[in-house]
Amino acid sequence: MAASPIIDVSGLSISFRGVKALQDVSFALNSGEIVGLIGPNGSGKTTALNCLSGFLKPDAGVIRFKGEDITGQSPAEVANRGLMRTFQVTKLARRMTLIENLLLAAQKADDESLFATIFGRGTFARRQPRLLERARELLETVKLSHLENDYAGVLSGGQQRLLSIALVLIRDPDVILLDEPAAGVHPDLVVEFIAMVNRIREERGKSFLIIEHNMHFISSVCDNVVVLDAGTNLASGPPNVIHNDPRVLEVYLGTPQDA
Amino acid sequence: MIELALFFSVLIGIYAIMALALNLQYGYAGLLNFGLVAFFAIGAYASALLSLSGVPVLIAMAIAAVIAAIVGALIAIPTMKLSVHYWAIVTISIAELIRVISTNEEWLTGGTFGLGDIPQPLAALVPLESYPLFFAGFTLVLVAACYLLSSALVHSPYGRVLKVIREDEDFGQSLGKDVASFKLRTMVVGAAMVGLAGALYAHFTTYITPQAFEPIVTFIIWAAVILGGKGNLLGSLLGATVIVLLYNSTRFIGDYVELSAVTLANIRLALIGLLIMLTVLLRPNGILPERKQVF
Ligand SMILES: Nc1ncnc2c1ncn2[C@@H]1O[C@H](COP(=O)(O)OP(=O)(O)O)[C@@H](O)[C@H]1O
Ligand SMILES: [Mg+2]
Repeated sequence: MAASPIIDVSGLSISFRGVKALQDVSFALNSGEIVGLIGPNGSGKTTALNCLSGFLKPDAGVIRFKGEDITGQSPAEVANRGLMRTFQVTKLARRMTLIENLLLAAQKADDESLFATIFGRGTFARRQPRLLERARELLETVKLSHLENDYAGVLSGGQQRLLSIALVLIRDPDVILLDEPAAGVHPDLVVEFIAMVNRIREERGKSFLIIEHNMHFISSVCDNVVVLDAGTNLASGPPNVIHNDPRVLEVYLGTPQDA
Repeated sequence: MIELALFFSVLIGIYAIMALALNLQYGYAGLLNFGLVAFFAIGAYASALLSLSGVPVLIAMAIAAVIAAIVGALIAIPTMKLSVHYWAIVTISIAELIRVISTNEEWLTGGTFGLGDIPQPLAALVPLESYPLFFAGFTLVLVAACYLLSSALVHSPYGRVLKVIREDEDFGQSLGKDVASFKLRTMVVGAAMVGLAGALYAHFTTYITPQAFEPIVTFIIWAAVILGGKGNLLGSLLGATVIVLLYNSTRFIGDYVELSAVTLANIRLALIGLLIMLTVLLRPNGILPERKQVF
């Protein structure tokens, strides 16, 4: 018997003022798997990710994570359950340093209570060296160590994307949703990115759902690809099959991207 | 001369506490509170009424701060999921509402005549001639307590969540932070501090009327935070000192030049407005800008 998928989306629908952005979209992600979510611009990829991460409440459909129905939960709840995301337009605390951003991500709700802040400062102070060490390890991984005390706002677009992945990793989630991680990133860095994602999966058994236009990225990391078109499921399957699927080629005709 | 210096140091202390509170809310968390004077008034009236009805002054002051905090929570709960711009509107409205109540509910607030003979803290224990010095010391202790509290809050995991509210709420949420609850807590802590400042003011002047709670109070606190430096607590102390001295010293222009009270009031406002414009142009982050925390 196959284990049930770690993420199971069924019948997802949502519309914005009458415009149907998603119609009855279904897909699944198994534990330890990397799935690519592709489709032309405006096909509903980001909207699907927003529903998964709690930033949008779907009009219909069910989202299951580790077997539990998480549909309609708040973004913070979803993140704390171990389902974390990055954004297509990178979101960071720009007037906080890289290390501060990482500490912010790493600290837990218990550390952040007013009571702990006023009366229990020792608890976090004792944990802080270890968190700092972990933060520095992750900065090493994404090759940003030399900028650790710079404001995140000074990073280039590609560096910001790398930092945002480090921020997710420091919380050790089970599933990571990435929205166009390679967009605007230097090709050399994309190669490293691919190596990093593969390494994280191998070493730590994380699952990923990755929205990406860069087909090289998709075929280098994904076990499976889900294709959306105009808010509906168009196709799904392994990357090499999808790459030659005539329906997929058709929706991409006229769009010069290599996806 | 000593009397005057003590008078000003208390006034500066009262505004310094409120500037610290606004700095927590706006400087760190980016929350727009344009109704600070509401909490100042609530603290002042609550502590005055309680102490007039026989509650010991120090206890009355503490209760007044708690009442201001509760009102802060009541305002924050329905609005905490909204953007900070709604806070601006809601807080302004509350300030106006409180002013209308203080003017019209004569049975409670004494209406435009206000409340007089407000008792002073530990008045029976301190000799009359050294009371001004005692009160200045008392104020200093409260300012120090509020400074230490604010400093503990901002240099902590809690403080980092405050900053992420300012930077990008969605980003904070994506990291699992319950952003709305932090807005609520920050509103409550700030309201308690401003309420305490109001209580201090009532027992300092021993006489309050609705005229003491005009929107100008909110304006002065904002001016202090912007001049001193948002995101820098020492900046709030400095800003409060400069603005309070400037605002009150212009009273004495009247001693040298023949001017009507209205003209004088306008000159004082214009001077502060000018100072703020210069700050924004020359030192947009204030005299003491936010300092980077290096690990
Ligand atoms: N918040 C929103 N309000 C209105 N329309 C939206 C919103 N978000 C997305 N849409 C619309 O939904 C459709 C899908 O958008 P999106 O999910 O961003 O596509 P993709 O990420 O695949 O490029 C588009 O037509 C877009 O204009
Ligand atoms: Mg998108």
